[in-house]
Amino acid sequence: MKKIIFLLTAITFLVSCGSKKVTVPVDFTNYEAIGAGQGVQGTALIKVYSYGYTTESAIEKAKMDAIHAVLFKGVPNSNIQRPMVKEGYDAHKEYFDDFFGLYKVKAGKREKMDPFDISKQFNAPYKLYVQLSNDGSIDPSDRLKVGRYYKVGVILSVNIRELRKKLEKDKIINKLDSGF
Amino acid sequence: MKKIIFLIIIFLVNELNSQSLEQSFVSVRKNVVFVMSPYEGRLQNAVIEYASPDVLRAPSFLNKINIENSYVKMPDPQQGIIPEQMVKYNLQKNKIANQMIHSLYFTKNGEFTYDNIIDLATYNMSDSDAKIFDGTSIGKTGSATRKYYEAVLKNNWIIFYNIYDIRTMEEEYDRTDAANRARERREAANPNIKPENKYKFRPVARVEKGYMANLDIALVKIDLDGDKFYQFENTVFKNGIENQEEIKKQIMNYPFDLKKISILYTTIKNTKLKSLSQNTPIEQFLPGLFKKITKKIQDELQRKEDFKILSSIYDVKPNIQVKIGTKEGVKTNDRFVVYEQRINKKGKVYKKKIGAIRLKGKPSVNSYVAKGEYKPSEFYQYFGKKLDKGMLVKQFPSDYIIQLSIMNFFDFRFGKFTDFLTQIKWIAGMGVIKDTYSPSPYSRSNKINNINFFAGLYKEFIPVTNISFELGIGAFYDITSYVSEKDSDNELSTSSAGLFIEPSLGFYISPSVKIGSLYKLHLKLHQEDNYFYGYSVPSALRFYIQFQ
Repeated sequence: MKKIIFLLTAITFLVSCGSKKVTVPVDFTNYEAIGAGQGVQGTALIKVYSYGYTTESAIEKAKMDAIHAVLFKGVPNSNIQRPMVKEGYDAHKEYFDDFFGLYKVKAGKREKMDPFDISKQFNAPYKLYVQLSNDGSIDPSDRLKVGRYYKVGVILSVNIRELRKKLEKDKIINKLDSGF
Repeated sequence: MKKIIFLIIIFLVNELNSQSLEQSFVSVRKNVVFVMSPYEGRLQNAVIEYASPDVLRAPSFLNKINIENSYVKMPDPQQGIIPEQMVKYNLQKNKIANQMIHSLYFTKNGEFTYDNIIDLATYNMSDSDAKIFDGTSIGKTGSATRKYYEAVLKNNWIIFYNIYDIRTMEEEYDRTDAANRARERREAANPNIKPENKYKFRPVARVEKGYMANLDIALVKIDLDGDKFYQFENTVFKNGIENQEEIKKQIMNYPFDLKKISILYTTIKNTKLKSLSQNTPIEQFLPGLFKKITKKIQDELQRKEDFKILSSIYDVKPNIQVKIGTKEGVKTNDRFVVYEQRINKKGKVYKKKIGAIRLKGKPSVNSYVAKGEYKPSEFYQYFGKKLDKGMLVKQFPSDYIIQLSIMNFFDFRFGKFTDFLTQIKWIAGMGVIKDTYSPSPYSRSNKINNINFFAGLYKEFIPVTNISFELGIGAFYDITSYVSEKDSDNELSTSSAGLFIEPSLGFYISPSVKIGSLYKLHLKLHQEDNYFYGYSVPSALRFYIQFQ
């Protein structure tokens, strides 16, 4: 009996050694974006790795992160290495909170949405300017389970031309020919 | 307590079942050349004629596009297992690898071109990439070439057939008879063998016509992995692409490394071509030979890591869908193991086995250049946990099924999933029942021993993952010996035949192992001895373990 208890304890100890959680900071900007080739005129192909509770939510988050990268960070290895909005997110916080659908109005109140639970977002404006560039497949090397999150990499096509027009119209950025 | 330990062991096996990550996921169809050694005497002239690709047909399962069939002259006919040095010697001496790489860069007219590589790269392009490349400024062809160029050059293989003996069936029978006569003579002269045990010659029945061949097969890869690829590029194209003669010379003289992967068979004997008659010219023999062994080579190659189909789950709703099909060589009832990429606490990425799936229905037909709209093949999950899109699927070649039950009986059976009927397998087996009792209308009880043979078709249903329900229908034949209570000194026997129905319930504990219970119901249609008890094999609940 003592031997059996010892064996069970040893097994439990060994198994539990391999189950330490890997945590991911819950950060809206916790993503990686890199250029994935020259898109057709007016678009850019960007490969984004993002986190989510599920694979689907990670893909949706990646779309948001692709736009975020174009606007505020720039995308290395692409023709949009400089961010479109030089002043940053906070300079137009309320505009971009609405643009990214981070708040929803419920019973007259603005409630903050979980950025990882993108599936509950509907009709956020940013979605008009980004789409998956492939048939929805995920390469197995681009899907990784990190603790309780999923890190997924997808190639997205961002409509740079229309996005710029939108921001110019909303007077967030100046027109390219505004200095002349 | 035993059950608890058993469950713990199963759990540990699953937990510890993690593997290192696949290094590359650019899945490319293999470019294969079939090379055959001449067989002096019978085949010398035929081989020269077979140098053209139109006569020798290569197996189609590898979905090759650019295949050249050639031959190699060997200094002396070789027999037995091909040593690695001999294979490399012959291939290098005859510049097979050089010819193969040359055909990728030059047309048949001797003009330099990238078209062959572009065609291969475009054909190898995945459906997902096709959609992405459509949205690029350089277009589908340019993007495919950029991504797949290196993979096309790194996936060139040579299957080397060394035929060292071909004979007609008549000759084979003559040899067998001669060997048997010699055995008879030896044993007749041996005083140590009792006369009743001495071998008596009987001529072998000459029922078959055609040819037989003994041959060895080696699988060789043109090794351009790692730095070797860049070394090749830098050497051959050091002066650009203007001087075609220089490029041709560099390719034909380049010392390609040849990596022997395996010998597929040490010998394939008794490849009998029943469709051929005694008078069939040998020129017509070879295509049939290759066709005959194609299936065996296909099964064998799928066990090699480089030839296993790799892909990812495309979607899990409403069914598990994977974008592979006839182009990749998927066949009916093929099964795949599903892995998930994870990261451990040390930051090392590894893959963990999550489940197993099997093809549902026929594979999707996708043997054409991808356009981003392939219809995926559908699968059902028979083992494991919940699957998700993006998980890696890796082919898991289906082997023979072996099932065993042991209690007061022994039941052994083997089978395989069929190549044409989905979710249906054929099973054949035998059982032995010892010392069981059965009530009889003729006697109160009989002690019976039974040996039974059976074969049938079984259909598997997976109502819930890991749970298997099977229904089998087939025929049986059994021989029963019994001792009547009334006459215990006399052991009698009888035989019977009939049909059976066998429902069974099983539980998969791994992609290859299932445990469960079955119940066999017999419908006896014929019995030799009508004085027997009225039962043949007793229908009973049995527990089994199955390996597949």
